[in-house]
Amino acid sequence: MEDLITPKSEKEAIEMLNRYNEDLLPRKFGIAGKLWVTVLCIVIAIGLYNYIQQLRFGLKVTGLNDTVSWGIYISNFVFFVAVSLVGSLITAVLNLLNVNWRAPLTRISEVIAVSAIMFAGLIIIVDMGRPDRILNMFLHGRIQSPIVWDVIVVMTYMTISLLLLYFSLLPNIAFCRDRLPNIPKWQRKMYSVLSFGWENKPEQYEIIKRAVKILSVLIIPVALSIHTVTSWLFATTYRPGWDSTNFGAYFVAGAFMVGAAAVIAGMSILRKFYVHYDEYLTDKHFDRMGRLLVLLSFIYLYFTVNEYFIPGYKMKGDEAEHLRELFTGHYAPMFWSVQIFGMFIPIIVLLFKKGRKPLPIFIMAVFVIIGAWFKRYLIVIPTMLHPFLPLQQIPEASKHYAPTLAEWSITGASLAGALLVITLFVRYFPVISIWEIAEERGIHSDTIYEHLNEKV
Amino acid sequence: MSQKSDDKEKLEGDHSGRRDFLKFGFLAAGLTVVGGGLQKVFSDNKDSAKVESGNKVKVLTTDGKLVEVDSSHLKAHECCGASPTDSREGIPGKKYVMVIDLSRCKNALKCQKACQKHHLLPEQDKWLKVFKMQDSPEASPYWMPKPCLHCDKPPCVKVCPVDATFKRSDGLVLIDNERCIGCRFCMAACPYSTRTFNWEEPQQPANILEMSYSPETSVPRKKGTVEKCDFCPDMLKQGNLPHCVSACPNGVYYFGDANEDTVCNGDETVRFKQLLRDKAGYRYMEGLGTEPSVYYLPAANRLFPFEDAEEVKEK
Amino acid sequence: MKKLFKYLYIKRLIPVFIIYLVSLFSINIYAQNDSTSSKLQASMNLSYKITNGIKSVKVEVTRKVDGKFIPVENLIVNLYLTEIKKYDPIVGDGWMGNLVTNEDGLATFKFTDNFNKLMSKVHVFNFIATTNEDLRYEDMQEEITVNEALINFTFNTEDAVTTVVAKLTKFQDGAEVASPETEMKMLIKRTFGMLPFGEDGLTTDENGEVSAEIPADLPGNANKTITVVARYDDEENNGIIEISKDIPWKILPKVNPLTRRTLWSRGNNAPIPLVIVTVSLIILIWGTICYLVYLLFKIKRLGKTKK
Ligand code: SF4
Repeated sequence: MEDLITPKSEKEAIEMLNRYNEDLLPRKFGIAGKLWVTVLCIVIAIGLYNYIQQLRFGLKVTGLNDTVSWGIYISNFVFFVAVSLVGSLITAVLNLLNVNWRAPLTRISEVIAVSAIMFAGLIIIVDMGRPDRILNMFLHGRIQSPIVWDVIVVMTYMTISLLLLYFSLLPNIAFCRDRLPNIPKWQRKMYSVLSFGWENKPEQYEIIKRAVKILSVLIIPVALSIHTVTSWLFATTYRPGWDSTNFGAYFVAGAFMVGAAAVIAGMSILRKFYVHYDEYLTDKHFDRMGRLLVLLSFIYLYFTVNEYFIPGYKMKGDEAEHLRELFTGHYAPMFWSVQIFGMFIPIIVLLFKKGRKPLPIFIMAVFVIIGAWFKRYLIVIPTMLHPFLPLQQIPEASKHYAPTLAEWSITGASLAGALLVITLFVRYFPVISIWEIAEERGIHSDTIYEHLNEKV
Repeated sequence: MSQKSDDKEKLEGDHSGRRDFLKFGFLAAGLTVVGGGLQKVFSDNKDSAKVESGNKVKVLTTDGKLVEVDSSHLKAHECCGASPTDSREGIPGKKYVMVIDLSRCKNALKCQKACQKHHLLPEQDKWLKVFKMQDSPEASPYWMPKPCLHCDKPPCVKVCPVDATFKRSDGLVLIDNERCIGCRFCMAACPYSTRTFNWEEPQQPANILEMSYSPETSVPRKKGTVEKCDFCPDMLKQGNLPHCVSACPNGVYYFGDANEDTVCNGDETVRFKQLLRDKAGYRYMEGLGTEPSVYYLPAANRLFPFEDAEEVKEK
Repeated sequence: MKKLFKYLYIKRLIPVFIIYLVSLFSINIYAQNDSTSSKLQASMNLSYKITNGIKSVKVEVTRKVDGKFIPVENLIVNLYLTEIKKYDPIVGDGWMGNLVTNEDGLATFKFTDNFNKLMSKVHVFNFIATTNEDLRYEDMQEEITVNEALINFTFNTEDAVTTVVAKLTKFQDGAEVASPETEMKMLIKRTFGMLPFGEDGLTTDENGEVSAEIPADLPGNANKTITVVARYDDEENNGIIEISKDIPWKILPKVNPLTRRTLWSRGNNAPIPLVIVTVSLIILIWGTICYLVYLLFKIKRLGKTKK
């Protein structure tokens, strides 16, 4: 960025480096942090309890029925997949475009991506009627089934984003191993195992740089396909509302938008709870991310119009009923709130420079994220309620869908789990890549390699 | 009965050591001879007389009540269910089709009752539904029975990730519930709302639970898996019509083999293609391209005036 | 308290006593009226059938419950044929044997060769079926008389059109005569039923013959035959007479939805292009991932070498 002070001498550079180290080392949580972790653990425990009930009594404990056989587990899965797309967006796209303000953002987004994709995989197992038979997927997998494609891409994406995170993390783990004072034994042991023999050698840095470059290219098609394939789970069926050729692009656009919002939210929270972080996550970063979010929202708006305006113009028989329910019927309040709060208001607010200040942009990001969650709900559930044949000769309970408390708590636990993974990462690892920051701020690589892991 | 216990003896013999095996073998052979002889003696007098076994079992009736009956009265699925592997092959040379004559249906629901009874289905799971349909506001409503349409290009089979639901050479689409992982993708993919899911552990009589599972009988039913109308392959194997076809008092259902070009509704046997030609047969939502094995004859020149059974019930 | 108890006790005893009295009376009333009413009423039906020369008698026993006929199973029925008095000297006049009804209330007696020989001169049969002192049902007796009738088949193929001619004869005063003006059916046996062919209401001519063309476009059975059946049905006088024959026939191409590699085939029968695309994508991407893991280990190796 323009106002970056490039160091004038090596001494100054080392000083800067030391200051970064000081600022960005992982730190013990204060009261707020501990409280936060406790709350998350409680939510997860409740969800786990309910999941055990579900294992015992079957999916009966959910609000699902023969009409709405996919519910919030699936919409939550789509949400997770959407959020996970952000890793590729920030890291790969900004990396390849060589944007010079990306360094403090990459790791945050990668962590969000990894935890989201992990819980996407978990929540899909939760949705299965027979999780005990998960191995059948590998024993009898049918390559014709979009679910098999999805399993393959989810696993691939998870591996790639883990690698992406891990490679650039190596120097920092080694740094924690060598430099963190007063840490318990297990923690040091963990660092030393995870640092994988990192010795801060220039050759090692070279390898990291090569690997990250390969990964940045590789992750783009995989990330696009993960969300496209997820959209195909719906688009390969005949149901009104899902039978759309627009779905892949629509899902990807939506995912980019919520992913960017997730990164903004993460940035805001980090900046709030860690002193000095505002020097790295500056107002400028928020401004840039705000602009990016507006751009992505416009793309999403474009696909949304395509998705609803064209069928709404034709009002084809079976589709009409579904659309009417969304536009003016039972789901209209949710539908319009999602459009207004999850898209229009953020676009308008973020168009103004004042709107892109940390606080308003944080609020807008939260709007977008919540809106995105309910948007997924609207994609999955109303369609299930409008099959081609009338809802007759079924029990009254099968004509509606209301998630049960158990279902909510399991879903909540998955969200809490993802947040916990991110939180723990922040607790034990530097969430802003120190060496990348240093590089971005013009410190010479040789200086970094030599002095990064020096004792203070 | 005695035959059965002999088989058991033999089986146990197989599992034990060689000497034990011989010992058991002799014993079993002896028992078989005696048992067979006894059976002959009995069968001379009481041909297929049913002996009350005294074993009471709980059965779910069609209206969802649990009743106790003697286990010898449960003859459903006594035979004919092939193993999950074997039932992937269709009955050789057959291609089953169904023709449903909408002009004869008066929503008597005898078909559904027979189906529920023979497949031990609880009230809320209906494999065969009779829909009240109305194609346009001016047209008069009609009743449309709908089993599984056993499509030749089945969307449900397309999407199944583990090969649990499959298409057979005789046209049947069946489910192997020992393989199904319960992802319910097939339910989402089916445009005809055909499939039901075992959301909880199904209630079943003890003697059914003891049987080994077969996709051809769809019992014992299993928690966390999908189910649907199976065209009663156990009946077809014996050359009998599916339960719904033989239960209908109005001859609505014709069932047969397209390779024989013949369908039969229990009373009447007619040429399949000619029937479709003469009565303007069609398939439901042909435009989807799923190519169902079930055809409909339009509800023209009705045998019965349309009566809204639901409204009648309310009165 | 005690008083209250006593009161209740007596109060309860009174109705019990009344019920007891009533029941005494009622048993008496029934006993006087009809001592055999504990046995159920059932009805019996006899029919006679000749299938390809094999004669059989079928007994059907049903009972009416709430306006519906339900089968009576496990009932012993004695069957007699009055014409052959000397058949069984021990049991008595014309006793053919006994039958037990199955769960559909049916029992069938098939004539053995021995029987056929005994009756070769007889052309009018009088069958009697009785039940005797069954514990559940009242005794029944039912009787039918049938005249023997015969059908003969001839087949003739001309210009790829096969015509079936069936001739019906009946016995009159011991002589076999053709039966004109009689309705007959021509059928083809199929999996679930008999498919009629020929004109509607086929009737024999003065020679007692009917003829019908087998539809040329009819597909045959798997073993390249079709089974043609001619049937005459007059339960009152002649019973059901049926004759069938397998004749060679062509098979039409079978529909087998599983022969091609499709999206709805088994996993091992997936369309080739799909397999190629997915497998190559997987190899490409996972190959790269393997390379990256290799790089990771290279980092480790570099760490071990001293600076
Ligand atoms: S629910 Fe079972 S049968 Fe249906 S698609 Fe999933 S695994 Fe296949």
